Amino acid sequence: MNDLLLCAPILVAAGTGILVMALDLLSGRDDPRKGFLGVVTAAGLAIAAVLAVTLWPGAPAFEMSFLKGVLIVDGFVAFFSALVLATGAAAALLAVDHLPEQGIEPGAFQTLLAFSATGALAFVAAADLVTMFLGLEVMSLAVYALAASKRSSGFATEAGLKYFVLGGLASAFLLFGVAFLYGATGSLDLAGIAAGLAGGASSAGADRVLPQVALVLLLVAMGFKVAAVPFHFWTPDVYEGAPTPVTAYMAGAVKAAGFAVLSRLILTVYQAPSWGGLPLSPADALLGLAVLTMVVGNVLGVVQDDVKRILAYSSIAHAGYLLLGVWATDPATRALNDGVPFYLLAYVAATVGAFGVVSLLGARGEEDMRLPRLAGLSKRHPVLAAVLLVCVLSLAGIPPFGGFMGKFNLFKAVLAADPASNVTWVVVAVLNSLVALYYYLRILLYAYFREPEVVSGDDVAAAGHAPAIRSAPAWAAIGVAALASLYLGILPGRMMAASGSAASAAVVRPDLSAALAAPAALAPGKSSPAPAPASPTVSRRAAVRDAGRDAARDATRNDRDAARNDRDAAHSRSAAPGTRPPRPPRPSRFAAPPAGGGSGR
Amino acid sequence: MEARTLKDALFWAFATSTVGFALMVAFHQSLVHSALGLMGTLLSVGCLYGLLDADFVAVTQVVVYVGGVVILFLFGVFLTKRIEDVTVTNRSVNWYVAVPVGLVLLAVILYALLSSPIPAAEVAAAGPTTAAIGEALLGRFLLPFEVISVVLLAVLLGALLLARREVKPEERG
Repeated sequence: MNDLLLCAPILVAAGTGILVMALDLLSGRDDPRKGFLGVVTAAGLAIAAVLAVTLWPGAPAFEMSFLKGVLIVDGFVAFFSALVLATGAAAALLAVDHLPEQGIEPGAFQTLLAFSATGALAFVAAADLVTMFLGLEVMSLAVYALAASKRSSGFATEAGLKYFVLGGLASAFLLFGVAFLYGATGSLDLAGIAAGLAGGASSAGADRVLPQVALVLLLVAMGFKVAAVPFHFWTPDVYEGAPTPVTAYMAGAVKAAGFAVLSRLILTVYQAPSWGGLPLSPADALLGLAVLTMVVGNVLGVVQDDVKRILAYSSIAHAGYLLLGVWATDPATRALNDGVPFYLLAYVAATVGAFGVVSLLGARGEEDMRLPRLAGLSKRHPVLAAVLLVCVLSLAGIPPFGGFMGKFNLFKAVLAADPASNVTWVVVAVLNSLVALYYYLRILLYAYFREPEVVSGDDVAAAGHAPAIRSAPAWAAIGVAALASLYLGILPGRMMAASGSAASAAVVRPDLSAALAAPAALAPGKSSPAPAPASPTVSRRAAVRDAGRDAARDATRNDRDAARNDRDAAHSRSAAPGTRPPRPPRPSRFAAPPAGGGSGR
Repeated sequence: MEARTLKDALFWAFATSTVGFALMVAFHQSLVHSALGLMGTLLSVGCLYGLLDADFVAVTQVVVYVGGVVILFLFGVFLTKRIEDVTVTNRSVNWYVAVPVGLVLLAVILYALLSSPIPAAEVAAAGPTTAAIGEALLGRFLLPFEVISVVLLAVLLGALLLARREVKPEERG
C-alpha cells in the first residue's frame, strides 16, 4: 500500500494523460476548440503536485518494499516535482486558446504534455540510473513532438528536429556515462555508485580515470538539458520555433528537472573526500561551465531582437547562475547550496509568466515576436504589460520581486561556502546581472515607452499590432506566475524554508547504501537484510504503526515468493543471489515478519 | 583454455562485424543497403549478447529488431514511391570540426577503458535468464517497466501528432 501511495503523484500524472486522451476521443472531432482538455490536464497535474508535496517530504518515514532502490522520495524530490508539475499545468492552461489559433491538435498536445510531466517526475525521483534514463526519455520524447507540433510552420519543424537530434546525442552521452559508472563501480543506483567510488578512491589512481570520463560525459548530457554554454546551441532556435506554451514548459519544467538531477547526480556521486586528485575535478568543470554560461548567455542576449530569443538567452544565463550555485557547496557539509531550489522557483515563475505573455501576444498567425511588435503594449493591454513588467523585472533581479531574493540568497550562499575565494565569482555573476539588465529593460522599453510605428504598405500590421487573444485560462496562469513572483519577493520566508529543507535532502549519502543498494554486484555482502532509513526513530515508529497492516500483505507476498522459489528450484537454476543486478532481492523479502506466513496459507 | 580462446575469437569476429556493418549504415549511399547494414549490425550485437549468456536479450534482439524493425524499415523504403530517385546526399557539413572532435572523444574513451581496471563481476552459472528477468521486471523494476509503456504511448502519440494528415476545415463538412 505504501508503495502505491508513494507512486500516487506519478500515477496521477500518467493517468491525466490517459484521461485526456480518452476525453479527446469521446468529445468528437467537430468540437472546434476543445479547450476543456487543457483545463483537465492542468487540474490533473495540479492534483499530482499537491500529492507530491503532501506525500513525499515525509516519505522516509514510510517503508518502501518494491520501490526501494528505484525511487527516492524526499523533500528535494517533492520540491522539484511540484515545480515541474506546476509548470506543466501552466503550460497546459497557456495552450488552451493558443492551440486553436495555431492549428495544433489539442488532444494529442495536452496528452503529451501530461506524459512529459510524468517522465520528468520519474527523472527527478529516480534512485537508479536506469529509471533516470527512462524518465529523461519520456520527458524529452514528448517535448520533441510538442516542439514540432505546429506543422504548418517551418520554424517549428526545425525546432523539433534540432531538439530531437541534439537531445538524442545528449541521451547517448548520458548512456555512455552511465555505462562507465557501472563499469567503475558495478552498481547502478546512486547510493551504491557513491559508495563504490568512495571505496575506490583510496586505491590506485588509475581507478579514477573511468569515473572521471563518466563525469564529463554526464555533464555534457545534463548540460544539453539545462542549456549550459558549450551545449546551448539549440536553445534559441528551439525556444523561438516551438509553440510558446511549449517553450514555457521547456524553459521551466525541463530546466528545473535537469537541475534537480544534475545536482543530485554530481553531489551524490562525486562526493568522495579524496577526490581532489582527479585531473579535472567535478568542481572545476562545474565552475567552468557556470562562468561560460553566464557570460555567453548574457552577451549574446544583448544583441537579440526577438523577445523569444532574448528570453531564451536569459534562460541560458540563469542556468549559469544556477550552475554557480550547484558548484558552491559548503566543503564541510557537502550539501546542496540552499539558495538553488529557491532560485529555480523564482526563475521558473518569472520565465513562465514572461513566455505566457508572449504566447498570448503571438498566438495569431506566425509567431513573429520581434521587439517592435511590443510597442505600445502598455496602452493596448495594460494588464498584460504589467505582468510582463513584473516577470521581466523578476528575471532581471530587481528588488521587490522573487528574482532579487533568489539572486541575493544564491550569491550569499555562494559566498558563505568559501568567503575568501568565491568573491571573484560572485562579482562576475553580479556584473553579468548588470549586463542582463540591458536586454531586460529593452523589452520593457518597447512595451512601455515606444509607440507603434506607422509604416506604409504591408508593414502596418506587422509593425503595429501584436494583438492579444482572450483566454481566461492563460490569464489565470500568467496571473499566478506574476503573483508568485511578487510573493517570492515580498514574503520569501516560507519558500526559503522549503528550499532549505529541499537542498538539505539533495545528497544521497552513501551510508544509505544499505537501504538503497541493489543487490550490489561488487559486494554481495551489502545486499542488506534490513533497510536502514535515514531517520531510524521516525521510521521505526512508523514501522510499528504499520506492522499490523504489513503483516497481512507480507503473508501473501511470502506465499507468492515461496511458490516462485519452489518453481525456480525445480528448474535447478543455481545463480547465487546478488550476483546479477536485475535480480529481485529475494532473500530480504524472506526477512519480512514470519508471523503472518502461516496464517496466509 | 580452449574454450577461452574460442570465445575470444568469436567475440572479435562479432565485434568486427558490428562495427563494419555500422560503418555501412553510416556511409552507404543507398537506403536499402543502409537498412541491410543495420540488420547486420543488430544481428551481430545479438550474437554478442548470446556470447555473454544473455539468452533472453539475444533472442529479443533478433526477434524484435532484426525480425521486426528492420523489416518494417525495408517495407517503408520499398513502399515509398520513388525513394530510389532521391539522391541521398549525406552532405558532410563541418566535417573538419566533427572529425577531430570525434577522434578526441574516441581517444579519451579508449584511454579510459584501457587504463582502468574494470572490476569483474562474479560470473553466475550460465542458465536461462528469462524467468529472472520477468521477475525483476514485475518486482523491483515494476515502476521503470511501467514508465516504458508511457514511453511507447508518448512516442505513438507524438508520431500521430506529427504525421497525421491535416484535416482542413473545408474537408470536414
